[in-house]
Amino acid sequence: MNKFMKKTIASMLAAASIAGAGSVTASAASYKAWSVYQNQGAPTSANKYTDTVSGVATGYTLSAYASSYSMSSSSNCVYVYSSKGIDANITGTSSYPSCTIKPGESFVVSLTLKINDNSYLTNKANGNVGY
Amino acid sequence: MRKNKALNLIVFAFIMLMCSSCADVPENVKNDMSQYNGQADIFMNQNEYQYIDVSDIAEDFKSALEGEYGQFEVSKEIIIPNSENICTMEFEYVDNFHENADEIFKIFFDDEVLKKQTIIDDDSMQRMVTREFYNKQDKVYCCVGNNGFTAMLLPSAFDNSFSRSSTVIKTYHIDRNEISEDAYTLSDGECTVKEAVNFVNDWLNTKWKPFESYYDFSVKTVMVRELKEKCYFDFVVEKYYNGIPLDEISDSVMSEDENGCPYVKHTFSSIRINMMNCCEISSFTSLNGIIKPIQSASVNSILSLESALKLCQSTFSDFKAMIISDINIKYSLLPQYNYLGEEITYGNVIIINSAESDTQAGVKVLSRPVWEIIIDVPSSEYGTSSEFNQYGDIKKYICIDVQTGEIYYRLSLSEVLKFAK
Repeated sequence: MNKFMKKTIASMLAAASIAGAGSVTASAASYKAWSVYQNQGAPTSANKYTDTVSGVATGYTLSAYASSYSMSSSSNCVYVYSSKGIDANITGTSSYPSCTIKPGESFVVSLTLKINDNSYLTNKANGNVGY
Repeated sequence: MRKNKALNLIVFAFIMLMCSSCADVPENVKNDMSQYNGQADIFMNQNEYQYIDVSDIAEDFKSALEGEYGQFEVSKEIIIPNSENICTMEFEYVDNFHENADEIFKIFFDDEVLKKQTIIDDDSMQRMVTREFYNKQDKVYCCVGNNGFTAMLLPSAFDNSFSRSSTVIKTYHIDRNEISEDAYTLSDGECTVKEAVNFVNDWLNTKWKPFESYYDFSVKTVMVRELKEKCYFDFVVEKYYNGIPLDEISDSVMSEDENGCPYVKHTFSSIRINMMNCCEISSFTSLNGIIKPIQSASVNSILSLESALKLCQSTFSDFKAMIISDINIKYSLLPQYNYLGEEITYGNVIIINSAESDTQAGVKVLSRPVWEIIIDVPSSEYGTSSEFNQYGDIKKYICIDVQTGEIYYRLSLSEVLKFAK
């Protein structure tokens, strides 16, 4: 795990918060971190939650990524979209796709949590634009 | 001339045909305003809404401002725009702009600084080729991309970079004639808003203009930000094509296609400059890159402002009182790019690997002239004075296509804050 990964994971965990059972939160405290998640224990179907973050990159090379975990069903998924595209030669592990954004460049990154079944879920998708 | 008249008649007849076959604002549109963000396809009732000749805009504007529009109160301070050359436009992101890099470096840095820099050509990214240098030791950075993206940092702005997190202590709307003699203490001493604005406007229209010759440039807004017990000016610059500004407020508005795939529907074209020392371009960014006009067709008649405001009144009927702070005609910008790409799956994560970025060199951008109706959001609506205020210039907006009456809007405070500049 490289230095970047450690930093982004730390900020990802810091961004996590708990909503009431069954409720869904899509938040963007700043343009650097955002999350979309469904709290545990809520039966749901065919739902989709999106959060979008935009801004101007401040660091030399930035990465946008998303991760998902504690998925109870393989039919649940997270979509990641970046207006700048996701670079084909992805850096990091498969869980951390990224796109490079130059300092001063305007960007928009969207993260979507899509739930396709009626499972009880503990789902969360996090994103970060940092360096 | 005769051909133009005939064409106008055909267009007019087509619009009238559309209007006559459509109902008033649908109830489901009225009832679906809970998110206060999105678009509404409205077709106008011909008896209720009027079209005017573009040469009558000033007169129409003046009389419209005296009208009453229910929940919308129109500010008496609004300046009548000079908008007689209205067109539907097509733009395109420039290509090979990085070939200007060495010339651009020279407008920001002197030879002594440039001699010490290691300039690299970066073609490692799929979507943009750049020529650039980034020197942490000297605290200088400049990057020029093939799509017109240009960003620069002088030592005075290097640590702050392009951050927008500093507290905004005052905002000046220069486009509303708020050109002030107020002075602030920048890093190297006192500087008035007026001299700073004059310097930036002059610099843009002389030094920068050769690289983006299609436009005139004008500071739209100045935010005075506080940093380490000093201030700096944060400028939002508008680009004018034949007297009409390009959209600078719709900060990459996302939409979804019929399959739920996200894409950027509305984009913007603007320049952002920070001034840390008096009369110095301390940081510069063209944000998305540069679009150049490639096609235009004149528009001879437009929806009258009175009709546009009535349309707002009937469409947003569930809204409480709102004060309209500003009204303009501007060019909306709709990038036409291949956003679908391919889906790559990693476990439960699906990445939309876009074939194109919305700002990539060569991407076409369709443009429609729209009435832009601005609703300023006072800071009391999104925080108290004791709270950290990094926003500074918060605006809700409603845009109405001057030909079709199609509406898109951003009236949700949370969305406005998310995309705040």
